[in-house]
Amino acid sequence: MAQISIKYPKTIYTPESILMAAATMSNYGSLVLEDKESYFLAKISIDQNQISKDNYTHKFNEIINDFQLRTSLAERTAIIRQMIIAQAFAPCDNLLEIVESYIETNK
Amino acid sequence: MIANIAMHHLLRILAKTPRICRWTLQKKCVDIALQSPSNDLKIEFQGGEPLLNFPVLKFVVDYTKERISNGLNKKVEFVVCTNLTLLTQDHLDYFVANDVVISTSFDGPEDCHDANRILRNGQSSYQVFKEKLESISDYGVRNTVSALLTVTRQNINRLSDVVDEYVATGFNGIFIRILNRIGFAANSWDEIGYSVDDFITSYRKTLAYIIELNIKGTFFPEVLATILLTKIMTPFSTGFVDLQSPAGVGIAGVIYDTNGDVFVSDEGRMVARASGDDTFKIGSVITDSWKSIFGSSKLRSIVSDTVIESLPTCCYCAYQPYCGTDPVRNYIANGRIDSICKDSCKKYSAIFDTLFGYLNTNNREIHDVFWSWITGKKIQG
Repeated sequence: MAQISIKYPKTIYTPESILMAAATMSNYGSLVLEDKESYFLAKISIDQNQISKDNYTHKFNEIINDFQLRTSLAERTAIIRQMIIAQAFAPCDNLLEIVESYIETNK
Repeated sequence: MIANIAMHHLLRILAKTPRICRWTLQKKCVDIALQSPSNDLKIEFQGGEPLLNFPVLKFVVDYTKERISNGLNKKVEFVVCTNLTLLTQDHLDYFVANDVVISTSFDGPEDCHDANRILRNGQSSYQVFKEKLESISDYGVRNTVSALLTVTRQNINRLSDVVDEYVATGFNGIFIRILNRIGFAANSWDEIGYSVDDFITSYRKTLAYIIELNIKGTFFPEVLATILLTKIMTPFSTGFVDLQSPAGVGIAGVIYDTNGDVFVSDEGRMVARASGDDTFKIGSVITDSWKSIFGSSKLRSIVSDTVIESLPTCCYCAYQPYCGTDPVRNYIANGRIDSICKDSCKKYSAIFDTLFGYLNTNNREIHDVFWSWITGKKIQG
């Protein structure tokens, strides 16, 4: 087994994104996450028979950055997204009104 | 809403079901489709080859018209997607009498067309196609027939020849589409496929050729460019469900499969057929109601994941106002719907770059050509 230690500044990363990456890569290694004052310390044990340190680190960071970006975007655009979806499904959600209006018009 | 009913395999189902069940499935498909709150619908028959199962096609059209004549306030258009090889006078009589528009496939000069579409007996389909097209002219509806081009390795480097063939055959535009690596195409990719870079190069070259053709007096739009230019230069919707945010899957168009399963798109149906993956199946006309299909949390989730304002990369893109995404391509490329298929992004970015490049030249002739495509009117004078 090989050990990898990576620091993730708290100003940028949440623990969820680090845990998400660890869960995704759980076939190759295990994570212990330590909460330090200004950063999270990810201590990872990997099986070097399955994956090299460089490849693991690369993939791990890729997943963290992807998840972190999505989380950040989802928070910032949540309202826009909800409005767009509400608009898209309005005919379905207001089906009863549409039908009643049609019946009224065609009496 | 466009409701698509895949017809080719229905004949096989009917052959297996008891006589008492005949037409039940088709009725259910139509009944569900007509429950849409939209007053304007289009029913498109796809395959396989719909003319192999003409009785079912006829039943669906007749039944839909019967429902409408009984007081349903809907306007329904019908389109049949056919390779024309089986077209008969009886078919044409029916189509003309019932306003069923024909859409066909045409891949260019004889060698290009036959390279993609050879008959099962090994003979050329090009001559048969041309003869059948001629027979449509006798009915005076030739100008309503549209053609779709399939770009494969066999014709990608000869798209100018394809354009010339389209013009000579009397088609009034061409849609240069990239081949999707889904379904049958995926199985034959080594033989017919190409890279997105090859497509971009060929597209740019062919677009330049088409623009020149228009400047010289032949009105002949490139459909994809027309759609994108309409998005760029006007506030109007294009109805192009492949490129909108949220994606048009399930809300602007839907597929009714031969067994009554309902899919968000034909690509979604192909994924299910190829691998049994039902990610894009949103219900069944046999077991579900309109509301449970089209108001389902599954469909909402799929559509929600295609809001490009919330997707990485797209959210910061300059072309976002004109763009969109396809959940099936994203899923095939990346294993998740809320992602971007890099090849699709590369293709559309390149085409946007090209079009904005043309607009930026401020060339009066090119601008006139573009506006003629957007308005559908030939340049005067």
